[in-house]
Amino acid sequence: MAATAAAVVTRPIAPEQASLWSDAWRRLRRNRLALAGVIYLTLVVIVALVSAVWTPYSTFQVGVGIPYAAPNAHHLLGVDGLGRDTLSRLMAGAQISLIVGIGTQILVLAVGVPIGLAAGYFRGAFDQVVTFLINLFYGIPDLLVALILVFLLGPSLTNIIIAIAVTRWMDMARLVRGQTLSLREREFIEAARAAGAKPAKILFGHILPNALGPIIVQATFGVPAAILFEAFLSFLGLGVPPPTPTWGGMAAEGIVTIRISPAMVIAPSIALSLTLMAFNFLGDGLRDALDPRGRR
Amino acid sequence: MAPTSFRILKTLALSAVASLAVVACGGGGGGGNGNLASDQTLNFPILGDFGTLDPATADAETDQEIQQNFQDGLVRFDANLNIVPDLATAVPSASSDGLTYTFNLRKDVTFSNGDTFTSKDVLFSWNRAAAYQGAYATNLSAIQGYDTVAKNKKAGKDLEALLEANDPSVTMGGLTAPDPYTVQVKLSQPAGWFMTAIALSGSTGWIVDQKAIKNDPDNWWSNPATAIGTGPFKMVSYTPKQSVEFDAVANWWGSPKPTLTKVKIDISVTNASTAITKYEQGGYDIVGYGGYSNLPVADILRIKNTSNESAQLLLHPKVRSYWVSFNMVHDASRQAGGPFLLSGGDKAKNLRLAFALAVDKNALVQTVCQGIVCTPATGGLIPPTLIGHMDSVDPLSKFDAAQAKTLLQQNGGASAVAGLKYAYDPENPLNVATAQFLQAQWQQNLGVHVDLLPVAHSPFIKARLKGDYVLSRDGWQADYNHPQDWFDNLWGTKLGCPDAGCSTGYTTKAYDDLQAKADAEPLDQAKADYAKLNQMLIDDVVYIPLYYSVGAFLIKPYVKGAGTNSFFDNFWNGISIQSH
Repeated sequence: MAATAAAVVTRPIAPEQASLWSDAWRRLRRNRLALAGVIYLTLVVIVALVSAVWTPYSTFQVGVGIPYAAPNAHHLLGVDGLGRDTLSRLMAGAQISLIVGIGTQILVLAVGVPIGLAAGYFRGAFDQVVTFLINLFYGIPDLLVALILVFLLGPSLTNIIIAIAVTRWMDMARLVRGQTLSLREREFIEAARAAGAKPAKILFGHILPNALGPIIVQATFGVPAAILFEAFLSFLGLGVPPPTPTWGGMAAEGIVTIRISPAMVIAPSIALSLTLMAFNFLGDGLRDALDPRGRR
Repeated sequence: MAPTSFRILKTLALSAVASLAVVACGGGGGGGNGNLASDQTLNFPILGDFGTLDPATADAETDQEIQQNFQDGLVRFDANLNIVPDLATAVPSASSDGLTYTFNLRKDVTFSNGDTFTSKDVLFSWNRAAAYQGAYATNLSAIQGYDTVAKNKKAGKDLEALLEANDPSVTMGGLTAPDPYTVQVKLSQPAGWFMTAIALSGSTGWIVDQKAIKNDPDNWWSNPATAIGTGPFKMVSYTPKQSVEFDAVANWWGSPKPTLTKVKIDISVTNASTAITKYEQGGYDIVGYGGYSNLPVADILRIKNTSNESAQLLLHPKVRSYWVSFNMVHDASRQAGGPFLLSGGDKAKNLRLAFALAVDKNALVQTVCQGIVCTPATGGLIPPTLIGHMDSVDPLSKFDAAQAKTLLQQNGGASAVAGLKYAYDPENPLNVATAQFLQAQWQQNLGVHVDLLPVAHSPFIKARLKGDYVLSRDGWQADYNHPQDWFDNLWGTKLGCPDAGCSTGYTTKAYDDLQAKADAEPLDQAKADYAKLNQMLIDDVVYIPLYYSVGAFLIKPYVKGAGTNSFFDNFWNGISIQSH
């Protein structure tokens, strides 16, 4: 019995020793869909980076191939109506999608996190104003807000990122506010307060790190939503102005020629769909991995 | 009796001749009575509602394509674009001094509501159109007293009351009716273009019924009870943005008598590709009628490659040109400014030339239009087949990237043209593709980045005519076959340049003087002066010529007599539906 007891005492208890992040990474790796998402997104990032310095053909030059040509040995994804190489434009379009997706989330984080933290921690009138604004923005159709902003600011990459962020900051602010409301009542926050920590230290030193998991998950889900929104704006002709190629814009050009040149619409649509799926798989994986209740 | 084999051969030969005649007539020949279908209803879409059917204010091609089937003028263009009598008994000649025209009117004409047509209707219609000051009011500007009426712009019931009272403020002194079937027109100065201007279908020279208009002078044309004309068809129903229907007028006075009994126009479909799909599914008999012959090039390419539908495709050059306009004047009214101003002298002119020479127009046509729906504008802005088209090659239509680059470098380089935007209206897919092509050409051949500025059609046109754009899409569809239609309506002080209704702002004293001289001359004499005006535009590099458009129509094989000439659709009263 003594030997058994000693064995129990000396057995390594790895899960308890692992940090939240290393544990999350371990579990993320076990999620095959999330891992596939990571691999695909890594590929998209590489393509986007490569396309900044090299594409098979110029993305802007017209007449490099016969307009509407089907995929062939020279143009693997065919040629668009102006004789531009579809593969080259698809590669360059990856840059725009990533910039829009990540740029929007940076803005959303920059606005939503501080507002949510302050509203949840200080409560009172500020919280009421923030809650009112969140509800107000939820009440206005996001497409309408984005269209008006793009119309007022003009269609450009920066303005589109701003317009999409304006329609998305509430999700982050509401999430962070809820997390903060919960965390501010926890003992370690009470202890920090009792030790004389200032609100900024408590918010950014204690509450924010503990709310980081849900924030990352929310931001990860926000990226595909922003990419889709940009694609939709481009489809409506209000996206990034030509000649910059975007997947939504390419799909919009291709849809009218689908009966003679299906590759023009299929290629960007598949790229867009796979990217959206990859981000969603990654988001799901992160949510599972970062959920403390799911730790095994 | 001829042997059977000979009869068969004879029949085949006659059939072949008839077929050739049908093809020659462009999509169907005359509305022969061969094997008529029991249902003589013609269905076709227009991809946008007409703005008005009132000749005083109509200014869109769609308006006029419809009006020409239920209204008339004293004269009109026939299928071969000759001016022929319509409500007049003959096309009058000008008096020896070129100042007076006397029209004798037909005595057998009635409006579709039974009202008799007389000279009083002509005076009412023309005075009313002059007072309304619609887009084509200037077609009447040669008539004595027009300037007075134009200054007293009126509309609605106020105008009707003044016209009823023959008030001098809305009555052109040069327009008189010696008797119920004679109209005398005195011009303030000779105008060789006058007869062609009043022949323009659905425009200010066309005739309306005072009795039908007086109760609802602004919207009479939208109500079947008051949309009255003298033409072979009458409106029987109209739901805005949904549909409009016309029935043939029983015992119509003119000829040929309509074979169609009904024309149904669908206004609910606004996308050309959707309309083509519906046509292919049997929903329409024609696509492209009513001013919508700019069918998508992708659909045309597809149809050309089909065995059964390619024969239904009719491609016909239209009298429509496209070019790029520069802003050439900067003043308090024209805010765009830019590097291409007339006041910029040779430097600005060379920059304009650099931008013109940097565009490969042949490649543009092959890429954007697939060599199908447009042809390069190599003979000036006036399209082939029209008087005023250049015999020689327009030097601005040339492509010379090296010279363009040299000109740019010698005149300030890329920094002199930094921050430019090219404005265009994206509703027409060709405009979008053209804009992207131009952007690529200027980038590739000049190293100059030009941003694209898509603007919805209506505000685009208004802004362009105010001088809000440095570079913009421009175009013109001929109203009639006379150079005056181009040189008076696009440039010069007479139009209002630089500050009113003028895309470029271009006007010079030399242009104005020569324009006035040419306008006053009979056409044969005026041609040389209009050619000199054309040369002035070239010398000053006022435009970058792009292309002349080609209209595309789909016409079912059982629709006979449908087709087009370079100006307008074949009239409905020449169309019939064969058994199918």
